[in-house]
Amino acid sequence: MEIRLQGVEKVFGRGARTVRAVRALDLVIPSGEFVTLVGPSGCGKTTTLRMIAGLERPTAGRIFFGDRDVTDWEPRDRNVAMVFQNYALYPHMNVFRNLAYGLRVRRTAPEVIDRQVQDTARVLEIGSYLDRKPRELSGGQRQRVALGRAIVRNPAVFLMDEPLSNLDAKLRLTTRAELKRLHLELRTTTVYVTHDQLEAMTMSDRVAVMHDGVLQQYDGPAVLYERPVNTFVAGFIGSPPMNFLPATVERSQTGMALQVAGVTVALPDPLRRALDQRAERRQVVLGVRPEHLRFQSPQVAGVLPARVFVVEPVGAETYVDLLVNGHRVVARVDADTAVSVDDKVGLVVDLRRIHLFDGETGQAIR
Amino acid sequence: MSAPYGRHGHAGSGGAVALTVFVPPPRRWRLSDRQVGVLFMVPFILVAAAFILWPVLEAVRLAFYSKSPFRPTMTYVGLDNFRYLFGDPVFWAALRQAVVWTLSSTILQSILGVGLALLLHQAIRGINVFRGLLLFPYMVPTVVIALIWRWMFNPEFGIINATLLRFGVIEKNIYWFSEPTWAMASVILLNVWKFTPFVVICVLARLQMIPVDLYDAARVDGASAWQRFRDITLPQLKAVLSVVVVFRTIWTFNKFEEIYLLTRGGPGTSTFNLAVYGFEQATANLKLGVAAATGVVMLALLFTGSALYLRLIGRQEE
Repeated sequence: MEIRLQGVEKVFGRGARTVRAVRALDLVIPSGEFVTLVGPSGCGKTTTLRMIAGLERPTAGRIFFGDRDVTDWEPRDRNVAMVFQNYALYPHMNVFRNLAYGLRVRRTAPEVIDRQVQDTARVLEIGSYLDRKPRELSGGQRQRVALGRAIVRNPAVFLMDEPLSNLDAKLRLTTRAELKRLHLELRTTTVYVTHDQLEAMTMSDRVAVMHDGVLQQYDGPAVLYERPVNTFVAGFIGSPPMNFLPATVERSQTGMALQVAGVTVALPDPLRRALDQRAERRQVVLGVRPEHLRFQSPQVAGVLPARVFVVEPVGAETYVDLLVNGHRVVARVDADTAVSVDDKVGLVVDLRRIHLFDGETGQAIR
Repeated sequence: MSAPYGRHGHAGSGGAVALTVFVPPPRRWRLSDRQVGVLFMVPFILVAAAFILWPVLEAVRLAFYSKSPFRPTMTYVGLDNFRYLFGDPVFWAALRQAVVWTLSSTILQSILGVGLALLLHQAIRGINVFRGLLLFPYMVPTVVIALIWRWMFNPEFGIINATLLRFGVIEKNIYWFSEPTWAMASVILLNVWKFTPFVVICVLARLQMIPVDLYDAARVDGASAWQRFRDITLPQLKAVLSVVVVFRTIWTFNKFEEIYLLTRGGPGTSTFNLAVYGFEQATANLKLGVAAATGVVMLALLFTGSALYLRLIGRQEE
């Protein structure tokens, strides 16, 4: 089922307390894809999901399921299923009845209900506690029941609102993989909401990054990582996040050059061409991912002078926090790199992988 | 104020002294948590024993004696008081009326209470004013209410008849306190009016604890508004409703002042419940033993009823 949002807006409250939760959102979720809405809390991602579910009505704009305009439809008519952050299992019903409830209110025949619940229970390996109440289950088991309640009805769309955030770190990791596997098997259109960019990157076909109710970028995970459209996306996607350094662009004898931390850096061709068409001298932000920084002796010409602030080994690699001209920068280096706190080092930037953003608007220059 | 500390390590410099200050007190004065807990409960236990347990036991003892308030002596009569009760047609009428009065009041209060609570649970602007107003009947003393209601129920110039006449519900005045059925209806009405707020408060508090997520989940599952009420709200209210029903049943069954102040049990004995019956036995017939026996019967009935009801509710929970 393809989902299309056209100019969708959501405004809460009136007068001085108005909150514009979602603004002019256009989004197409292709049939069968796993699409994640990601962003910090308050960015409008959950509101968007609830509008797709029919639990909130948009203030403006239309929502389409395939060719049908479902904007004014009740949730029950949309054939969607939702997994809630706190699972929202019916506390007075046992697991079987929790799973069966959606089928029962739709007047499904009892023997069909029984078969579908048993099938779902087998897939999710929850068959052994069908007669237990939710309070008798562990967090992980509840999460599976919540998932089961969604898939048992074989809906056209899955909606998931931070379904992993209440699990402990280890369980979250395995469940993340299982969810992805489940999607590959069922191929049901899935809209997934999370604030965790890692979940978004690992599970999704496409990711919609939202901030302050506005869609920032909607692309596949690789594109988001390689070509972020602005500093917000660049800083949100990736862990540790992209480093930002203020810089100026100046015309030199050889063309446009970048001044950063008192060092002049030659620009690669595509960026130079993009900058040639613009103003003479301007403030920009240089963006470099931690893995695109290398260490050199500080005496070598053209390196950025830096001082080691702290060293964070994480096993396979090491994150080195540095101070460059008063700005914090993280470099991601091999675990055997020999540096220690307060060392003076020279930083070499992989110039083919840098990003430049407008100093005022934060938009990518390319 | 250095004296209290001086006893332990006196003088010297800070650090070393501080260590010696925290010498535990002598062992024989230490009480276990359990002993401290018992100590805290002793005042209540004494008061309860003096003013609840002892009077109840005295009343039970009195049920087996013949006693007039004007004579100091009391005579042991065995089960005579109970024989008198069970042979008295007024006792049986009072019991029947007590059941009607209790069941009607409790059922009406519960239904109205749940309805009003659902209404007040809505997120409507200004709803808090109504939530506050709701407490009004509960705060006003029963005597005041009974007096006001006597005026309202007045057949000739009461507001109730006037309103019913104006809206064409009735064609001629109802003589509320002169006809047994209307008299019973009026005391039930008063009780419902006064105690529905109690039900509303309990139910509203519980309603506000039901996670909104459950309703969202049920809507997505496809449940209609009625199905959401039946399958989520009601089961969530079950525990509080069962407690409320037991309390309201006990309190209404024992209620005395509303009936006595509004109808004095009349006309005749048609609005007697067991409490009024017992009171009349003590004050009009001067049979304190019979009055006590009535109390014992009430105690037994309520005890059995509550136990059965809670057992039933508990079984449904499984």
